Amino acid sequence: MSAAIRSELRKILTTRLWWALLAMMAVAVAFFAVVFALALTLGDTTGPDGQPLAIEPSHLALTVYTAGVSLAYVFPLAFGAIIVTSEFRHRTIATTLLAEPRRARVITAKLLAAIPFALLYGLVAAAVAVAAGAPALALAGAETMLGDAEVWRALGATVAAMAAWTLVGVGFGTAVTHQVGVIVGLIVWTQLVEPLVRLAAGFWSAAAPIARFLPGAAGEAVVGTSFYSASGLATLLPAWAGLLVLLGYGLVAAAIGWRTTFRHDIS
Amino acid sequence: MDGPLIEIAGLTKTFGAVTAIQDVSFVAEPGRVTGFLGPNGAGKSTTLRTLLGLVSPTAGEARIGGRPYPDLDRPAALVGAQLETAFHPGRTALDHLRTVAPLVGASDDRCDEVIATVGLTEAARRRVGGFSMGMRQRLGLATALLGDPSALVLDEPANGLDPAGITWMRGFVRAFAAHGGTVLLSSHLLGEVEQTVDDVVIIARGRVRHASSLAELRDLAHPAASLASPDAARLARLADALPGATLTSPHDLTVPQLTPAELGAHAFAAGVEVHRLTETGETLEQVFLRLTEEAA
Repeated sequence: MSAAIRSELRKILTTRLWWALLAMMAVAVAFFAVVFALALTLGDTTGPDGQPLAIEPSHLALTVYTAGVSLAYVFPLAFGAIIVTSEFRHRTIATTLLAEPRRARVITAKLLAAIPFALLYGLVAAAVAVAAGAPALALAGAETMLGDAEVWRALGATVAAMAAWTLVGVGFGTAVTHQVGVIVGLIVWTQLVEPLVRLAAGFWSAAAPIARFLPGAAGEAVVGTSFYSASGLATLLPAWAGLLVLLGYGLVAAAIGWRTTFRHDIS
Repeated sequence: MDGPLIEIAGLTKTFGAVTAIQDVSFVAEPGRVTGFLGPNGAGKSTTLRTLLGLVSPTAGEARIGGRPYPDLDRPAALVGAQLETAFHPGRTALDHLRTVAPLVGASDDRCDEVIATVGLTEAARRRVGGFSMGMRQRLGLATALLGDPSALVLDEPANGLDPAGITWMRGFVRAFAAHGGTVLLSSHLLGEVEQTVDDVVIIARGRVRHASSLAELRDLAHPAASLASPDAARLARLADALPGATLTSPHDLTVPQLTPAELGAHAFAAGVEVHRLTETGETLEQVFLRLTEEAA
């Protein structure tokens, strides 16, 4: 097994993908953190009822620091998916399976090899969110709240959520293997379809508990704040349950991929 | 080295309604180079992929050294395989080998070694995306050699190689077999591998049409001979006496099913003055074509 993991680690480290996506993610997280910090402090903060929105300093800081996860999760997600799909896109899967014909082992090795990178994406996202968000908050005259335990808990949760999204990517990449299809599909689902489903579920009380288990909702639950939950439209799972659900999606997708695409003939 | 016996027994593979290969059986023996020949789409790649565990057979089985490929411990250390020349374009040649190395138990030194063996040392640190087809073939062979195998399975290894490359590849597989290794290689051109192979297996439309040594395949060539003579009258009489003989001109006679020696003997007996006597029978390539085109 360690040989298979070493092989997968070398595959990741010998192409530009991991750091290119990491760099793009860092830029995206920094951008969102600054935009949220400035928009929520300097923008028009009048609510729909004409009263000024009262945003607590800690809530403001949390929103700024976790903005990355709400949107930049697509980078670790794409990274995870591509480390599987690129083998099919470039047809290198035959070489891999000639050297290691035990296909379940190949999938497991990919999941395990992705973990250090998953954590790296999470750590960089959290670090960049603070590095860009705190000065922006300070500049706008708001408190950075860096002494607040709740903020540090949320940053830790950011690391966990980003890491989990990476493994979701690996899992779905295994199940779908079509590079563009799986990435676009996951983004369309989490950004477009799922919010609509959750919105609809909000009007139908029987569906609301189920909506909490959708992947986007689970991802938000890990960090504990987001657009959709802040809007009060949906209730979220506890953070630990959200993390388990999210990891569950990744592992179930990987298992489906093992039983379907990886069962297929490689021709 | 002692190469393993490669046995393919009754292999059938259907993709939906399409039968890619049907009841394919043959062996590739150690110490010999076996050419697996057939036109494009004949089922060569499907057979090789099934042999290597990438495609699961509908019926039949394939064994290498007595065991199916996926059941071998560290299969790449027994069988080096090169299928399509597919690499990640962003990886360097050396990095490509380093990604495979842990799985076949090869060290970094071994990666340098095989890259030198195939003559790619200068290009080792260049990205594969810029490689020519010939360089990709060499890198594919280097990948196959990484585990120091005693058998080689190569799908169209001469594709895209320049004449110097083909000569080099020929020398390489001949030496590999001479050291006791088993070599199974496919090609759609007999001429490309005629000087490389000891045995031939001919496949067409999914079925094996012929399997023998190359020498036995040569013996299947239908002989024919032609003769030129200034003596039109005697030549015409000789033509009448030999079944199937045709005069292509008053001075030229062609006779099927006779070797030049036999036709020369007839001419001598008939007192025909001979100016030229030539072999006009089937070439090996024509035998190959005939075998692939014959009805099943």
